[in-house]
Amino acid sequence: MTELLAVRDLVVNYHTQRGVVRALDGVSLSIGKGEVVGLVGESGCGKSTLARAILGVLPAPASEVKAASLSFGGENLLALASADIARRIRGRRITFIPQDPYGSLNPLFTIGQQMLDLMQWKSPLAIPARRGAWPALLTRYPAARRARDRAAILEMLEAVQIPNPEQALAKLPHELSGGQRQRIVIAMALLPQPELIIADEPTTALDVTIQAQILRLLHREVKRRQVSVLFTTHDLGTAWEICDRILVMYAGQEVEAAPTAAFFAAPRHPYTARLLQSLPRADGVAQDIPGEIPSLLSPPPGCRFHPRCAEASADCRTKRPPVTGSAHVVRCYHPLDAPGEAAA
Amino acid sequence: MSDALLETRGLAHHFRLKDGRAVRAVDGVDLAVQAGEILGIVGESGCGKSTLGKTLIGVLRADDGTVIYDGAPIQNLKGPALRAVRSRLQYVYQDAGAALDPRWTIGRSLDEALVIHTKLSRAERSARVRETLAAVGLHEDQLSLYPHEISGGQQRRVGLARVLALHPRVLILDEPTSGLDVSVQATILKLLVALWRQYGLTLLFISHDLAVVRSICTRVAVMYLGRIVETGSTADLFVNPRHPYTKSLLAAVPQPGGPRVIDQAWLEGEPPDPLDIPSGCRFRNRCPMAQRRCAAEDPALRALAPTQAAACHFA
Repeated sequence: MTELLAVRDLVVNYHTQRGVVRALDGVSLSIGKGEVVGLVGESGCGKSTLARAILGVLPAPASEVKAASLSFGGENLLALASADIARRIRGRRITFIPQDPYGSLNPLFTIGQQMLDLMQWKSPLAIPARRGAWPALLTRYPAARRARDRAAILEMLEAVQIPNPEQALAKLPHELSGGQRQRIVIAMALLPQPELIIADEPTTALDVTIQAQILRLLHREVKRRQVSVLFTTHDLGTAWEICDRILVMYAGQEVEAAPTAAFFAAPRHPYTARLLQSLPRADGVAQDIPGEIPSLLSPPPGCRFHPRCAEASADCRTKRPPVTGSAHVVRCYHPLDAPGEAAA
Repeated sequence: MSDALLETRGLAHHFRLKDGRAVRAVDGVDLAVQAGEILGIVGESGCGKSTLGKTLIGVLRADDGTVIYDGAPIQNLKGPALRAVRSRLQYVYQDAGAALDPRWTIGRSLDEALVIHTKLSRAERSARVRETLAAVGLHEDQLSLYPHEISGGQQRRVGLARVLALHPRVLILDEPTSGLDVSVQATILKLLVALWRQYGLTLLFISHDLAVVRSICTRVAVMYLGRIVETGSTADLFVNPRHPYTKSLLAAVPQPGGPRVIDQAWLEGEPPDPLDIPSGCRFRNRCPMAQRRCAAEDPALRALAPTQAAACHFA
């Protein structure tokens, strides 16, 4: 599988009034073409920071971004000017599905207006504006292109199973159900024909039957188009449903990465093992993880999980563990046994 | 079922709109809660589960039907008699952080409930607060903190401590773990079971999360569009669901390590508009088994097994 996105040792620090928040501490991630990668972790683990760093939308100048490499489709995103990313990459080659579609659709404009507005800027038919060109707001939207974009929108609404697409275009966001709105933003993420979609917990706000419908739809459409997806979630169940591979983060560090089946069959990091044990079980109450997630203003040195880890040794308290394993990667001095993989 | 601690008969609450139409959020619910059980109320958004909880304790007025607590109807109680019942029946809100006054310390929030509902002296109140604080696993130092200074999981503990201080018999928990990370959720569930045992409580556990309900409830009631469509012991209902809605709901829950839900056939469509409830069985528009009879006759909840009942002609 060819590598589409490669992140090596990404560090993100937020400078706040209370001090430096060490949000990401050397995270590595790669996504192949057409691959769906789940980014799993609890609140505050850095999922959103990582997603935003890739999109280039971290708040400047409060955030400090460093990486050995942050390359997308062969281009080094850190070397590009932010205007260049906005023009050529964000919203075109990398698009985004938000958690709460109601918050990201404008309540005052119809679905059709908002989708055409997107296409005026980001349609695959539109050539990215030259540097220093008039903003698209001030330029014409040629009628011929507009008509073709509209046809593409209707076709996409059909693909995401919106009943009566023509009528849906005339509706305001509040006139649609939560599931319908989520279908609309999935359509908007697919319309620019991106290579990578970053989906930020797209089914968290939905009921379980609607969630199942949306996950099936998203999975089918991205696989059909060979679009890669970075799917952030705190829900291991949804990750199991649609991800090819899973990366688990804890307090700004990646702890384990593995193909989905191998991951659920035999987690190797003590944190991920505990996380899986904390899922509700049919045969009684789950086990919790003692302690709390550390403050990222003063994170523990070494492995950030060591204060809560039963296996922790002197090394864990001082040095960040190295990466071991090939397909099933774990960052731990005391990984749990892997049945299929020889010890590194 | 005459020995039920809390019982509803034909309970209804309708939200009236300005144009005269009504959302029939709770529309004829018969439910008997036995003393000492953990009864899960499950259903999707808008099915009326929170409205049911609020109508039960009288926060929302019952438009029809009765609520019977300990053998006596409670809707028409007033003054001290009402207050006495209310301190026994407590509602724990979904968002404990928002339910706490941001300008009051935790200690003051905990004390207030006792000032309103009891005649305890200051020293007795303080002792009671400390006792419940310890029961929910918080430290006395935290009494002087404000809600924003503690974590979401701790805010939920404070919310629990506030109602436990009144020594209630029934707790209605509205989505007690929604919005929490799984590891924190596990901690809160463990705590709830411990408190249930320690205080001999009866719990009504309102949740949309079937996995959580399965792990802690002794019995489950499934709601759809303002009605209870199936009840049963947790063991029976999850293993052998009888109502087609319960079946499709269970089939949609991801099982890490098991067959993938997205590869299966399951419930299509979305719940109908609660302003425009279908005739007959409310589920018939989405039901794979629907026949002509379902449009004509509204199925009643009928017993199918000693512990299980479903409202379906074909269950």
